[in-house]
Amino acid sequence: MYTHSTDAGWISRTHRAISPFRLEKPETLSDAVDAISAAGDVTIIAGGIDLVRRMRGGDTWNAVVDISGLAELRAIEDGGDKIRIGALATHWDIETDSVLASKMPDFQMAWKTIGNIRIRMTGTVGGNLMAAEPGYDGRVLLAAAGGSLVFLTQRGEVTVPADAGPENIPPHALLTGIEVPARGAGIAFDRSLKPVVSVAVGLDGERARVSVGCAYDHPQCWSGPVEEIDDAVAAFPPEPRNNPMGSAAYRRRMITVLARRLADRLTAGEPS
Amino acid sequence: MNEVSPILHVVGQDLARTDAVPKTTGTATYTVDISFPGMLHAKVLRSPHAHARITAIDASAARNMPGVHAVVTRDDLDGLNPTYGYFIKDQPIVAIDKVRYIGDTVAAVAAETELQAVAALERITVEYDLLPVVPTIDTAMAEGAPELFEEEPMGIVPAYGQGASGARRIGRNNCYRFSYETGAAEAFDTCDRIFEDRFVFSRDQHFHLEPFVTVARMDGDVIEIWTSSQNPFPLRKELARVFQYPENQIRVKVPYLGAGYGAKNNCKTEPIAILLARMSGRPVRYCMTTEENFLTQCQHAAILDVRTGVMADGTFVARSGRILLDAGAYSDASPLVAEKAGYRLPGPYKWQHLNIDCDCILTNTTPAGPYRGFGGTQASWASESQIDIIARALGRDPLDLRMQNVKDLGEAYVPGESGIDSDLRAGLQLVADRAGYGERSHGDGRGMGVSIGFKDAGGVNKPAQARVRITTTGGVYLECGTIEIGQGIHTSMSQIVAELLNTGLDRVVYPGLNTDYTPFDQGTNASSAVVVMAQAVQQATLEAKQKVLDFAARELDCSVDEIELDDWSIRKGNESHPLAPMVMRYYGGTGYEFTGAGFFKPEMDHAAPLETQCVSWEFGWGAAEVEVDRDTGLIHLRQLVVSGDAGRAINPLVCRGQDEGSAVMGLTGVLFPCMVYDGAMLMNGNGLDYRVPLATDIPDGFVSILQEQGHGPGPFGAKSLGEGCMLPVASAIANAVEDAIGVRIRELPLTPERVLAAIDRAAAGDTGA
Amino acid sequence: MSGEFVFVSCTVNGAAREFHVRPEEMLIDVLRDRLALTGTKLSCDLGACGACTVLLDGKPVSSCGTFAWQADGADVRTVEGLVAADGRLDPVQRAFVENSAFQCGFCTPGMIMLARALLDRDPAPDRPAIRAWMGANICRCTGYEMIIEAVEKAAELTAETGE
Repeated sequence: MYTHSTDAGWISRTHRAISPFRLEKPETLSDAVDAISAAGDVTIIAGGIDLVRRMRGGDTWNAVVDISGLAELRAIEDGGDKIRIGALATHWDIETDSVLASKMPDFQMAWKTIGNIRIRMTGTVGGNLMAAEPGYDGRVLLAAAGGSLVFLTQRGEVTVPADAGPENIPPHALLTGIEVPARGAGIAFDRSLKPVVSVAVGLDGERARVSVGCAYDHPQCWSGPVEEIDDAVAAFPPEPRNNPMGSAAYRRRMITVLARRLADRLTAGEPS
Repeated sequence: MNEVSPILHVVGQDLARTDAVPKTTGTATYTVDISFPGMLHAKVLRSPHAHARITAIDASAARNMPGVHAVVTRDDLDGLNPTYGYFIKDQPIVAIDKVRYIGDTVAAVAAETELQAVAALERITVEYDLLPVVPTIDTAMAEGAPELFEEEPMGIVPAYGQGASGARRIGRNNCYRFSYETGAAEAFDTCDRIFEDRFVFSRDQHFHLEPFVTVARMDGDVIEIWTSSQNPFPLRKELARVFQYPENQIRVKVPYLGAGYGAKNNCKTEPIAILLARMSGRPVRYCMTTEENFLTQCQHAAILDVRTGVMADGTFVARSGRILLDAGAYSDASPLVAEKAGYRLPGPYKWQHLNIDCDCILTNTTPAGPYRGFGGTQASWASESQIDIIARALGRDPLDLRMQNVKDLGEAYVPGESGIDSDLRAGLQLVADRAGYGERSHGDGRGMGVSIGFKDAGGVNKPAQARVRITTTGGVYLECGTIEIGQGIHTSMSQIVAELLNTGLDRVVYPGLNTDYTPFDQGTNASSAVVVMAQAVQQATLEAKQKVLDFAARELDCSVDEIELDDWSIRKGNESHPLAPMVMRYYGGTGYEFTGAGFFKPEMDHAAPLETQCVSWEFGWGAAEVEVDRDTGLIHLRQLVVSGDAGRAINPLVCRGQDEGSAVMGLTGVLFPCMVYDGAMLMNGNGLDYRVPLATDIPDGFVSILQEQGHGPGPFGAKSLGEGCMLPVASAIANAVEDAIGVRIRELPLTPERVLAAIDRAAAGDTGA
Repeated sequence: MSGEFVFVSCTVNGAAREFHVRPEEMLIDVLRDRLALTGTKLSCDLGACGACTVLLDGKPVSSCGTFAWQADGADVRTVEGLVAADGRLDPVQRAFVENSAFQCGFCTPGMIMLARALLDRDPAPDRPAIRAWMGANICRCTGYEMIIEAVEKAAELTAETGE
């Protein structure tokens, strides 16, 4: 509800009641990693879309580390068999990037459905992924594409597959970017039933990936041989959320309907 | 006045709105923009519990916090009548004995900054003794359910006319019942078929972009407020009662409103802002967040049981109904909405017998109140859905069945009522033709439905006053209490005045509302301005004009019949006499103002069920085409054709905006989740999670057609507009869904999950759905 | 350190401005409270409705969710800044006036800035492109069609006058 509560009641604040914090603006990657590894409540801001919402809801931090000045984190680079997208790349950067347009048009098209133009022009890849909001699509798409997240810590770089659970994210780590395999994997995405459920399917030769958003705290993912997709979709997702926004039974059924549909569409070579 | 002038120069023109430049350049002032040096910011503590007794409350720590100038709890209400409401005064300024919903106001703080106010609120301690919770109509009415009010709050049942009646506390948590009956109940016995259906209506929130907001200060002994209110005069009266203060010592000013859609009637932010301003001696701004809007006012959810008897040839005979409105935790305007929901349930059809009860059930949820359509949305949903059910059962086309049974132009709605002032068949045929209803292909996942949205408009027994002043040089002041809430009324009223004075729109100024100067109006609601207030405006204008003509005739030593007002000159034959010098010759160089006063009120009439005849009948004709995804239940809206009848459009572009805006607002309750409660907890009450229609949700096949049938009671034949086109939307879409997939859905909203469940039930052979 | 001020230098509607702001101070409050540019409106306060949209280096952003220091070095434009020095309205404003593309007006400054950002990028967008772009902001009054037509009209006006 974006309100905060005490035992006595609820208080709904505006942004004017955001708790004061210290602003840090590191100029190098290693300074940024040091800043977020320091003691105390510290968080990162890039575009700021999610952080401001959380602060308005009553979350407090001693320090906020603004990494928006680290220009090297904004690049989208063609690495041959994979494309590396900097954590500070905005959604708009992704949807207008020529490398992605030529090598991964499906991925680009799917990513274009995120948010709205205000969010896409300011919001970053890193912010979308690290906000870990159940309704956000970035992780769902990245998992379907077989991508991974690249973090920098004081001990060095750590790569985490996008379909790994949140417990795999290292502490005091700065997301520097994501890597997406550029093997021509087709991706199809259906968000028409949001906020109840969203499903993305990636097809890479004989291998399929399915990821499910909105219906869980974190996206649920499966990968395996394409011919097993129906059985897998019926089996792998844990019990979805069950609440008045959508029953678990409906969400589960829609996961199978949408996954099958998307897989068929990819097999038939239709655009997403 | 239909015959006033066959050639109109200002009325009927798509002139730029008089508020266009301020609103497009950012200079328009809204209540949120009002600010004073030393102004404090109010924040409130809201109940975390849906139903609890307050056993202790301690705000002493808050009072000593930095920047805090005033704190209000139940201990600070001495000398006040601390509860307010429309018919029933049951809502406290802050909780007194109990809290009755999550979000109920418990305490308020005024501090120099919002952060200080929040910090102070965090220091308030409250002890709650939890009570059983009744978050729905069913639980609130159940045997043994706890009463939200153990004792009957102060209130009234107004007088009603022929066939209508009201009652209070006739059942558990039942705060008001409106009943209407006409004709003999035996009519049901003559029917060949009787249909009984239950319909369920969900609740939308107004989602006005400008929040509830008030700035209050003491100006000497005068309470002065700037507030975002649709009904400043009744508000002033209620504040006078609450604060036990003379009405003429309360000054209410209303800048532009960032919309309201019904929400901004009566006390909202005003009492707390005033109380804190009085206690602190400083100006206080109380501006809610969007989340708080959701915890303050919403539409009525409803359960509607409708029983309709017809003949085998399709003739409608009798209808009875029981409507249960979810009033939320306080009565607010629920009794008034009940009057209208009950009165509108018959729809504009020919009946021999009607018998309708509409009950307001208190629940532990956000108080429901006025919302565009005002009970008509709920009634039209049930009535127009059931007509399709009947048509299908009789093997009739739903459009034809409507054509057979609708009221004729001029036919009284019910005994004692005024005549219907639109040609209903023409309107229905228009939208059906535009949508291609006759040639539609249907059944294959795609289908069309039609509907006639209906309400009585112009309010009940509304008195309206207006004043027109014309300066020496021909500048015109239109002083009138209708609020510019977005509907373009400053423009349309000014166009009427300019037309009557035979001058240009740019000569007319419509000053902002100040209850110290502005003539009385009952409120900007009920689509009443162009049929009620406009008649007062017309009278005021014509009176001022007559004074000018009389003066000029005297000065020119001729008969009034020989002269005409032509802009700010007098035309006499081929001569033109500028008025300014003429005025100064007679009244002196210091100038003068001609003033006209106008008044309008429908006559009291005990033969009319609501004690005055309806001023104008408002319609919205709708046709929808949908495509239904049978695997997911998702409805794709392909076409939505709506049409309203402006009678005579004062400004056609403005009218178009009203029709389209109301239709799209109507989509909210159909295709989006609306307010979703988990028990008594609202799940999606914020700007991010709540879905209102966006530009991307509107299909290319969305069209509005403005009709000008010419039968309205307002100046130049104008009729009420602005609510009608939201009324047919839900039923037209549900009717289209049945046309598409053969499945009838009786519960809103038409979420994919609900549609799929209905498809499943139909596949399993359960046609009852 | 908490409470330490941050120096911000930017242009607002073409004029150079410098501020010392608290880290938690929002751009919308600097605009409304310090510069009296109250055309920009606060509504949902979550970046969802777009009533607070201003242009930051040409990008439409929610000023309710943009810290003032995020505008450091940037070019900020608000609805007031679209009016030329001689009082002439921007083509988008003119189109909103002529097409009656507003009602209560509370979303209008944000809608106009959103449309301006679109036309700055694409002077001749087609209707689906306009619909998709304008889908970012909420108008509860109009039903959107007249807004979309006004954006089309603004594109025409721009083409005609070469503005």
